[in-house]
Amino acid sequence: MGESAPGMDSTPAPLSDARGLLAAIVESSDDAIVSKTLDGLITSWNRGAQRIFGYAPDEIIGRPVTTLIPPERVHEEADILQRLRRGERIEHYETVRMTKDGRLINVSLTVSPVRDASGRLIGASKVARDITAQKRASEALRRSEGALAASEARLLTILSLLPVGVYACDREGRVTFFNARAAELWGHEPSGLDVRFCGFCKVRIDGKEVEPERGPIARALREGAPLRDLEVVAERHDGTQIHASISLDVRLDEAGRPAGAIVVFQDISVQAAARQALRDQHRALEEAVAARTRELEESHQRLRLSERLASLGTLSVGIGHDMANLLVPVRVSLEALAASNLSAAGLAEVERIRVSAQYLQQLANGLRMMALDPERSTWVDALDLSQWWGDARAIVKNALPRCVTLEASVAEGCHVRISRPGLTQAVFNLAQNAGEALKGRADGKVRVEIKCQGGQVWVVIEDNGPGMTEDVRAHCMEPFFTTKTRAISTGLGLVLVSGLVREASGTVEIRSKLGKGTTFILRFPAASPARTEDDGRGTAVVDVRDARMRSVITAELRHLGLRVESTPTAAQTAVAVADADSEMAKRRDVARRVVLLAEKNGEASGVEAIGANPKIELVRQALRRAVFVDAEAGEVGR
Amino acid sequence: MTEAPAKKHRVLCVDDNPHVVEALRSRLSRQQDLTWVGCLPDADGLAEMLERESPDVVLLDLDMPGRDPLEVLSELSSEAMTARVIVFSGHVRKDLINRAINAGAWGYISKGEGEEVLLESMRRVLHGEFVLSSEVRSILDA
Repeated sequence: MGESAPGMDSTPAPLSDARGLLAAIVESSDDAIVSKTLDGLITSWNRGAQRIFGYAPDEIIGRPVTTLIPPERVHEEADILQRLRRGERIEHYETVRMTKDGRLINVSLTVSPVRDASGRLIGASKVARDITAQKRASEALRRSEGALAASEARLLTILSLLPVGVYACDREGRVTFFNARAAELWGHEPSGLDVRFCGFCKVRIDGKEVEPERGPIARALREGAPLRDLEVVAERHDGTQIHASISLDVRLDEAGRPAGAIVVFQDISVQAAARQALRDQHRALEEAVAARTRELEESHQRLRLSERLASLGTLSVGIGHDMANLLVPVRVSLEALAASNLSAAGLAEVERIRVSAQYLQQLANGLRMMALDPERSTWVDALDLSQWWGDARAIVKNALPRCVTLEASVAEGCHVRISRPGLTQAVFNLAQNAGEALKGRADGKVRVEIKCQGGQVWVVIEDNGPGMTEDVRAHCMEPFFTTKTRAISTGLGLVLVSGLVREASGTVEIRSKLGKGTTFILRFPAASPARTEDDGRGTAVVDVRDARMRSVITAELRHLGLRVESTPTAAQTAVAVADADSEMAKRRDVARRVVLLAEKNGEASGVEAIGANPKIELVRQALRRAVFVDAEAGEVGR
Repeated sequence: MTEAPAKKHRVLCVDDNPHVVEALRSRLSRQQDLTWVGCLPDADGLAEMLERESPDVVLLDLDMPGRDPLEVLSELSSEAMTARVIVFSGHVRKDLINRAINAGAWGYISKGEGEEVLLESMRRVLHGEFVLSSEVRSILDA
């Protein structure tokens, strides 16, 4: 600040020195220091002014100060001068001025009035500082602040729209920022310090509950290591659970120490459930494959076993057949002997031979029953078990070592729908097992009991052998399980028993006590006795010309329980079987069901044609259908 | 049989086992209504024998050398054939029973069931009845 007043030489020396110093200060200032008259003419111009505005002193002194003012701002000068006249001082007035080369520059002006010794206003001094660079810098700062704010706003928008939870935390794990999805996933909005490390109430990793302070997020923050796709099961404050995947990056401070982290987490419950479902399905599939493989192995083994049994059966049947053949002459000769004049002792001998022959006959019958029938029928008539035992006893006895006693208690009137060979094989196998267990025992005993109990028929095979351990008892029905050496056992005997019993809708129960013995209980649904002639199924009429076919059909109908008559008896007739060209065939209303020995089916319902010269299998099927279709449709399906 | 036997029914036996044949011959010789007309060790000469002896009943074994007896039977069967054939065998199998009936047999008796059953069955067949012995029937139903 200063003034230059030319032509003031009368100043005393010290004062003159001081003025010189001031002039030097003014001259060397970086700011432009200019003085002007009240008319606005420039009266002094320092080096700073020359540097800022480009004019040399001689180019500008004496010219109006408006030279420096851009035309659109000229009015500012009048305003400034007016304020000066009022004695005001103008400080740090920021405006724009023009340089010699026409550049506009930002300046900060301080204008002060200059008075003479009497205090009269004679001019003004103006200090102008070039603030263009400063102005640009602050403008740039302002712009970059705006850009930053816009970018932050964009970031916040993005964060609020992200389908993942995002939060920032300090090095203690305290949440300092979070997006909307994070709060949504947490189930609440955390209030500053209450949420640490993960934001959830509890977290389980690989099924183990992990405390937040010892969890992987705390560890990552301690060690400054990032974390990627950590899967956790997280529990919210309300107790609900989600599967979450967590990733984080640690922020480091200037010293390279962890300062906090940005954590991203997402709900992967759907994926986890899908993965679990996939795993379950995979497991189920594997189990199904394993089960099928087991079944296949079992059925393969059963097949091998049944092949062996079939060949054993063929052998048995051959022997049985030869025995039956040989017993015919034995029996006939015994009969002849008995009819001849024998002594009492001789007759007693004959009787003993007859009893032995009878036993041999039963054995032969039993051997024949061992054969697996290649044409096993789906329809099985009720088997009278006491009658069956009469034939089976000998073969069962033969399954036991000599030292073992066979006892039997067989109730009359027990019937089961099972094939004779099937039951014989099952009981034969069980007796054979019991015999094995009793080998070498003098008091060995096998007891067979057949009884009816509560709508069931029980076939019980009991031995007083060493019994089974719990483990053996639990597994002995599984294929390949055996307690015998492989040389004498396939380990499939009991599997076969179970299969045969199941086929007859039966069950197998095993009771065993170590040191006491083992009991197999085969339980079957009790069946009604096989139908006998005329048991109320009604009457049938047969009008078939061929005498043998007529007899065959008559025998089959009687076997199915019908009374066969020669002429129809109106409404009571259940079945009529007739040649196509017979009288009866012409009156199809003769019976509820009509079986025609004809090639073509008639139009009428209840009429079935089975061919003019049908095979016995066809005849039998057609007659069964005709007899049972109305009354016992369910039963026929068996 | 209780009815007065004006005429004895003629029985032919086809079986390769001489003991069986002899036993049956012996058994039949004691029957008033039945008479033994001869035997064959196989079914090959059956047609000729039927022609010559005109039996009323033929007992036919199945397990014999020579031609398949059931094949021979099915060739013979016709309305013109008067002899009624009963299969008398130690083999009792469903497939054999069905084949025998389809071939024209009037009955099927198991050798294991005894001669009384056989005699009774022969009489029933002669009376026009088709007969399966109980063992045969049970195998058929199994």
